[in-house]
Amino acid sequence: MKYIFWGAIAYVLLSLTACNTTRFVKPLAKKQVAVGVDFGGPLIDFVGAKIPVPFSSITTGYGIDSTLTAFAGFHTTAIAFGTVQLDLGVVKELYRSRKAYIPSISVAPVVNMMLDGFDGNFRAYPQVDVNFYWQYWKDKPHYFYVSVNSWFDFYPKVYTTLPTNIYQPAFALGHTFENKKMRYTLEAKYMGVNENSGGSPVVYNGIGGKGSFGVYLSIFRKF
Amino acid sequence: MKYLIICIAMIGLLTSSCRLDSFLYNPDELEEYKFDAYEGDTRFKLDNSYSIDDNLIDLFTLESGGEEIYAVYVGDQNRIATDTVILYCHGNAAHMDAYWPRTKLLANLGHKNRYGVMTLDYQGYGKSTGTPTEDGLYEDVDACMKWLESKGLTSDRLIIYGFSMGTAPATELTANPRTLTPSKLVLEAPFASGDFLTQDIGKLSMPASFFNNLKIDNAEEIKKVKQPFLWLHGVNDDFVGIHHGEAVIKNYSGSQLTVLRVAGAEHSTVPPVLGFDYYSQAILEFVEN
Repeated sequence: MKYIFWGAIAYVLLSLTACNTTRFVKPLAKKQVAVGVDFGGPLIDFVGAKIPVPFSSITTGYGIDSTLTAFAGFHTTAIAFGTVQLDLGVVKELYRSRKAYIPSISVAPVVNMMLDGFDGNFRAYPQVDVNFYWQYWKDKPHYFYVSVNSWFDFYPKVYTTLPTNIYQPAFALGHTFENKKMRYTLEAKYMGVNENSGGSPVVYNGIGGKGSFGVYLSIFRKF
Repeated sequence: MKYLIICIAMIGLLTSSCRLDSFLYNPDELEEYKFDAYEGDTRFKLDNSYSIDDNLIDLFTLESGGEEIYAVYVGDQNRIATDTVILYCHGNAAHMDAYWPRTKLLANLGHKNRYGVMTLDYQGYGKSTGTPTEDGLYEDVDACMKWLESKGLTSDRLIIYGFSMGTAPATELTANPRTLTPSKLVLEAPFASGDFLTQDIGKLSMPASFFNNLKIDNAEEIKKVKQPFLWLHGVNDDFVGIHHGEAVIKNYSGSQLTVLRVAGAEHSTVPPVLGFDYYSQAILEFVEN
């Protein structure tokens, strides 16, 4: 009976927090446009292996000025299940470091919206990312970063036997390679850190039965 | 504009093609039923003291929703008009053969061949034709009730027992009876609802409608059940966690609630972990009192 319950796995495709790379850590140049794709998700046990759930999404961003970028992400996996999932946000650079060992700092308020095409149910989850990034190589745009992603879930859950955590943090460590036209990012994330990961058919890989690690890749083309 | 229309059309096509309802079901097709000779996974085996004479096993077909479903009646059919009958609704996996030991346990409560037990394969399971659907589950179990009624069974002597996915038709047809109204309800390892399952796994407050069109909601339907209710659940159930069952019993406000939280038991191992004698005695006491 157990492991054919694929539906449970598919639920995860959309359900865990932070189901993509941190969209933009460092703002784009003024009037610059970027379009990219994201792959990856939380690590789960599947047929004896640990695999990232294959989320996918398409993201576009626009540099309003050199410290402020607006972006939108469209979740292509979600739409296959009949749910339109879109996130909209901006990233604002708060501090630009001139030294390699001191991080620059940005903050990104985001709203994640979901609407199902059958019953018309709607959810909007606010998210705030705080990013620290180190452009460690002089004259090269590559950087590594750490991010604190905070999701907020203000909706009640069904029945009171389920825990309701309004605040759901995630922590990300990533690296971005950039050149004039392209941007490649590899990111590891630890999400759902205050959620028990046991007691359901999906086996997450977290720490001490809490949360899950995730692995993500994004590729962007800049214009 | 043309590209926008194409894009919207493609999204519409995608959104109508990939719902998760069918993932609830995990049927296996059969060419023939083997019962005791079945060598596949049954989760536990019984010794010969639980054997059933061949002349007390009747395999037959019923019409349900335009499909032909297979059902088994275990026991003396002449006693249906006067005795208690247990209608067993199995879980989402395989077919009746995989649940045959469970059927035999129920047939031998108290003493050899004490109770008549009826079980079935839902549409798409075993040799039953069709494809499993939520409405089909209810139609199929109700078809069994119609057959039992035709043999003289009355509501006050019908006990319905649901295991795992089978808790959905058991609860639904007790809360919203169509043919007979079960006099008692037994739920083993029930799941609370689609929303509960989604939010339990996903950790966010998302509704199940983001993924499927299933309306199964045992925790809601149990509110309408006033008949005596026995709940069994493995404390170590890692498939439908015991908190699902807790959500169901919390909403029950009927005449009699009996609770068996079985330490050490997983999803499919409540009877063997409890011990077959203890399990049988617990069910028997609920049936008779």
